Amino acid sequence: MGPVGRVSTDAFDPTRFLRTWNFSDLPADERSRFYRETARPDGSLLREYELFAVDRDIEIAPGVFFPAWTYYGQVPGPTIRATAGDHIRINFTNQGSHPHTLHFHGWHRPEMDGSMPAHQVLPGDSFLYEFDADPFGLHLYHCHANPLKRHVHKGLYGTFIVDPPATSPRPPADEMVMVLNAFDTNFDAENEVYAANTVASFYVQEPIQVQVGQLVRMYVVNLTEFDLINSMHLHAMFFDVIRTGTSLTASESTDTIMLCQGERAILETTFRYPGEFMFHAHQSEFAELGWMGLFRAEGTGGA
Amino acid sequence: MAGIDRIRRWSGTRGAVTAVLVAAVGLLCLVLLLPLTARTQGSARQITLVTRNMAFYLEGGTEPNPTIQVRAGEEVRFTVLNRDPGFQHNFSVEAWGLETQFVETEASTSVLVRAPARPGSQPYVCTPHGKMMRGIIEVVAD
Repeated sequence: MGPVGRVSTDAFDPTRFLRTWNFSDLPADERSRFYRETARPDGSLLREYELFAVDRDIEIAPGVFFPAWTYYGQVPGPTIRATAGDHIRINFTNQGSHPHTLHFHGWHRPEMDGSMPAHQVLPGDSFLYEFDADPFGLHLYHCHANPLKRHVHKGLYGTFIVDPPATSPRPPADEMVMVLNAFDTNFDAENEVYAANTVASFYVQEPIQVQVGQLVRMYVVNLTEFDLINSMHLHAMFFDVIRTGTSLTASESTDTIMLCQGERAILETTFRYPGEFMFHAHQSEFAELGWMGLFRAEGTGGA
Repeated sequence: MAGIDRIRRWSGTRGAVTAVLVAAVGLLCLVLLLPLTARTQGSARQITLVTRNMAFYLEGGTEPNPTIQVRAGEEVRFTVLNRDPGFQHNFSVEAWGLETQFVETEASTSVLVRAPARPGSQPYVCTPHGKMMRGIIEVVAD
């Protein structure tokens, strides 16, 4: 099951990516290069980011390198996370070879939309994006320069989580981000490699560690280009679904969720039993081409 | 065709004499210049810059894109060691007319330069990533 060999995790470690937001994996002095937070009089935070676009060859399967366009040198880009009411300021610098933008989903002024031809940030230029974190939910950001499908597919996308106000937070959980993505390695407008978080079958080789009895919260965003839909199926259990994350309560309970491109959902579940649990796209083709992983639940269980 | 002509010419007696002469002059030059090169290498100050996470670091240092100080007229050997997987980086001080070749991941390149005689500060960059990988190089009076 899965490919032969291992992908180097020097440049991008999918396990670390799962539980990293706002550059939380960096030591403090390095982190301050990319992220700073300042308390505001009303108790909310000003969150300032330095984000850059850059071309980089990334390893998407053992020995398979893809000439990506990235934010911060990684695909998916860094997860941006704020609390509803915070103010976000992103100094975006284009160090790539093509014009790029940052287009965030959520409420903002049209000039902060990063979507019109006039919004394009040319190579070597910078632009300051500024908006409030609104509404709370699970969102995304991506490049909106033309041709759009190329800029998205080349790797310019990431997750934007807005937590509910501190007065009504979600219950504590083991939280993780999964971006469903795929790569067209021969530029025929079809994907050859599929994954959750870029590296084909990575979580088969390195299962995601979870604890029996602990609430697990998955932030799942579909950014697969070229294919109309993607999906996620979890074996031997069910999960609760909060579509777009814009509610505190789940709207359905299922074991398979379908997501259009740009669609996203928070999935919550609690592992009852120790052992390995498979998860993957329910499009079998995607699963076999890399969109496949395992959870490894530890602890006592059997309820 | 030109190649074959050249081989024919060199295979003649005249060619052999010329070859011996060229070799002798070459050897003489080497003998004369060798001490000079050795002395140059010995006295040049070595500055190694490690590239990682889209920044320059001094070897063993933690400060991204640090200010580098050199003495006016000093000979400096810059070595760029690329520890940034999937990126090619270089090192350039445009005001000095200095630009190294691009370095692949886990490779390095060196360049020997003489710092300007006049004190002053100039930016150093990685040419394609000059907004993120940018620092100051200071020439101080000797």
